[in-house]
Parts: sequence; structure tokens; C-alpha cells
Amino acid sequence: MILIDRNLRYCPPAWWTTIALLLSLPSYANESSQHAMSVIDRMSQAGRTLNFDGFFVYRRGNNIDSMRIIHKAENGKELERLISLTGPAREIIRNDRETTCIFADNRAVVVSKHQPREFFPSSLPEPINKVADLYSFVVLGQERIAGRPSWMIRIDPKDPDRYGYQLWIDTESYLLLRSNVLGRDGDILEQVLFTNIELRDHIPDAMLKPTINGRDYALYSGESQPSDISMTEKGQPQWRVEWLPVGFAMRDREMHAMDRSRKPVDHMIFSDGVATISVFVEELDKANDRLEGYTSLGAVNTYSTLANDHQVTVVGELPPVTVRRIATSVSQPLLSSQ
Amino acid sequence: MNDERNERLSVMIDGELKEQGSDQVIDHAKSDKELYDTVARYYLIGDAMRNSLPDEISLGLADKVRQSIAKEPTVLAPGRQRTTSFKRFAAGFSIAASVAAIAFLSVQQNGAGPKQEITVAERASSPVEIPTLEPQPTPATLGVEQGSVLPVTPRLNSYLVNHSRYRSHISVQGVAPYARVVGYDTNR
Repeated sequence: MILIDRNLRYCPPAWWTTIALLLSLPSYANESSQHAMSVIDRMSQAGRTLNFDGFFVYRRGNNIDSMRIIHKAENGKELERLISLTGPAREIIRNDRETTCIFADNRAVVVSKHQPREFFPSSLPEPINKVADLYSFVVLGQERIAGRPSWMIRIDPKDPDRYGYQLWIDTESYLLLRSNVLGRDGDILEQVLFTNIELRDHIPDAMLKPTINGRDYALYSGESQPSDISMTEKGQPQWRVEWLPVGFAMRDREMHAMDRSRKPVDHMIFSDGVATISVFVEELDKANDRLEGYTSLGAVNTYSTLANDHQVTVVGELPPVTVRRIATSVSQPLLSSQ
Repeated sequence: MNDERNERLSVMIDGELKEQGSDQVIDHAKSDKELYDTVARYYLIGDAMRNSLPDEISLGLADKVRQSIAKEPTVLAPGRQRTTSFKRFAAGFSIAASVAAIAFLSVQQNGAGPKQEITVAERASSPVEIPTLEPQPTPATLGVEQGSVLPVTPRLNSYLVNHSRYRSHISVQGVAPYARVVGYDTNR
């Protein structure tokens, strides 16, 4: 102690500044990361629990759309209406039990019924800071979006199997006002930018009703049910995903009855806390009814392949290479006793 | 009522409304603050698109628009002139609604094989095709060496809708999942 004291006493003033800076750097970075994560945590809550009416621009590659979103939270339940303002009239209305997509240009209404499990349970097995092993979080400063001061946050993946994000979060309401999904080279894959957002105490139900009159439209409906994690209906072992990027775990599993004439679709959902992927497996019953290859929609990539007379498709916010690797690892274990 | 007006406005910005119709909208806009704001918002969205989404957006835009129009002389006679003056004012902004004109793509056929079955759900009595999406980058731009790029078939679309329901704990996607479903591509 005395020795250190003596040494420090002879430090020139400039050194003190340097030492102070060096000492504060790691703690500053840590503080920024903690701050970023707490802001993001509040953002996740805000998006579900607030009433708002907003206009935003959605950009994916060279395509741009403007849209309006009306969100109502009542008694712990959410009601949401998304309206496309450009191109043909299209709307999505969703509540905790069903999602209704109305496509005026195709005169079609697609209703997807599901269990009231819109979101992963709030009490995740791993806390938010576990995600810090997979991504780095930093608050870059403040910027104004839709006329509101916002925290500017950057999320960088620590391995190439994930995408990065730039988020602008309202400093007051904690709503996400702008987001960029970043590819591996930092290129922007997808952008959302609110141009106006209004927070409301109350959203009248009339605002959540579709303006498109879908009376003569064709109705398609599908239903989802939670499924047994380990065995199929026929008592066969469930399909398994053999490879996933570090940190991904299964969050849910459902069977979708998409069409009476078709076999139900096995839907597995995985997440690393930030990105989400879906693995769909369905039995092929027609030779011409198969998909093999990629699709890319902004930050979402899909890869379809065939395995054991089944169609396997992975859909997720991960790079195409990662999505393909996951898809090609999907398999059905052989029955050991039969 | 409002929806109808907004639609007319949108069409006007698209340049599709006949001059007579434009005049009506402009007349209303001169006396209606809400409509002014709507005009501003449409152009704001346009600006955002043309300028590749700028970081900062002037909040006073609505007021500037109103001031600009207030300075314009009220032309009482021919409608043509009035439209021209509006166009002049509008030239300061990007007429971007047309940029966003969305071409709709019907169900894609996969290769030379027979037409793909609609797979989303129970088929209705009339055979109506449900919307499909178009993929964007080629595998080369994605850094992918093998495999073909698929059109977004109805089945993929239904997967996308089902996938959109799930949000991660840190829901960084915000409104994007469903925006992907209703947003369509302008070009193949």
C-alpha cells in the first residue's frame, strides 16, 4: 500500500488523466452495454403494452412501402391492425387468438387461428444478459426519429451466424421508432422508419376494423395446436434439428392444420433471445409439390430441402448460409424398437 | 369519409386523379389543417423513400407546406392553372407515391411443373389465388454458393405468416415481421 502510494505521488498530472481514462474505459463500455440492454428490455414491453397509432416506411432491398399500424393493449391482450398504404389494399388484423390477412387484390382472406401464445413467455429460462454472450450491445447516442428523441443502439453479433441491428428507441415511451437489420458487411438488409407516431390513452374498436370489405372474398383458414415435443401422432419419434448456432433453444412446437386434404405441418420455433427461426416439416404427398432452394425477403431467409419424403423449410432472421445449414441438419431419428 | 379523402389524396400524389379531382383536394387542403398535415405526411414518406430514409426529419414540414400554399395566389378561374401551381409547390418534394406503386404478382409456378397447389389453408369454393412474394437477391449476392432461388409460393407465404407470430424476447424486429407479409416487391 505504502509503496503504491509513494509511486502514485510522483506521477505527473498528465499521467493521472491517462490512468483515470484507462480505468474508466472498461466500466464505461460495461455501463453502456447495461444501459442498452435495459432500454431494449423496456422496448420489448412498450411494444406490447402501449396504445399507439403510427405511420412508418418499410424498406427491403429496392422495395419501399408505407404502412400504418394501430396497436391496442387491453387487459393484457393485444389487438393490432396493420394497413399497407402503398400498392394494393392489404391489411393484417391480429388478436391473441387469430391473425387475419386481407388481400384486396386477390380477393382473399386468410385466417390463421392459434393458441393465445403470441410471444415467448416473459420469464425466459435465461436472463437478458445471457444474450450478451452472443451479441454486444452499445448505446451510440441520441437521435430524433418521428420528432421524438431516441436512444440509438447497436447490436453486433459475436459470430457470423447472426445479423446485427441498429435500433432507435423513444427515450420517453420506449417504442421502437426505427430499426435497421445489418448484414455481415454492415449492409442494411431491411429498414423500418416511423414518420409519425401517436400514443393514445384509448383506441376505439372501430379503428381496428378492416376498411376492406371482404364479403365476397375467398376464405382460407388454418389452425395451430401445440404438439407433443417427443412423439408424432403416429407414435414416431419427432423430427429433430441436429445443428443450430450457439445459444439457440427450442421455444415452442406446434402442428398446423393448413388444409384438410394435406398432412399437418410440424412447426418448431427456436430463438437465441434476439433472432427467431422456424423449422417446418411436412409430409410430401405429391411428386410435383416440392421446394428446394433459397428465398430472401429483407432480413428473413428461407431454405427448403427434402428429407425422407418430407419437405423441410427453415424460415428465419439469419444469414442464408446459416439457414441452409440448419435446414440440412433436420432429420427424423429411426425407430429403435419396432 | 376520411378514408375516401385520403385515398383521393394518395391517388392525386400518384398523379392519377384528374385535374378536377385534384382541385377539390387542394381547395379542401387550404381550409383544413388536418388535410394539410396528411399532405405533408404523404410527401414526408415520399421524401423518406427518395432520400433513402434520412436520419432527421423536419417536424415543421406541415407548417412549411401550409405557408407555401398560403403564399400561392388563389386562382379563381381555370382549374388547369390551379393544378399547375400545386404541382409547382409539389415539385419541391418528391412525388414518391408513384415510386411505391406496387406490382402484384400472382401465384408463381415452380419451374416447368404443374401449377402449385394453394397450401395456406382450406380452399374456398372459388379458386382464388392467395398472394405471393418475390425473392430479391440472387444467391451470389447472398454469399451462397449452391441452391436455386425460389419464388415465394403460397406455401412459403403461409410459413412466413406463421413464423411472424413469434417474437424473440428482445423483439428487435418491431413491426417488421408483419410488414414483410403485406409489403410486396415492385420488380422481379
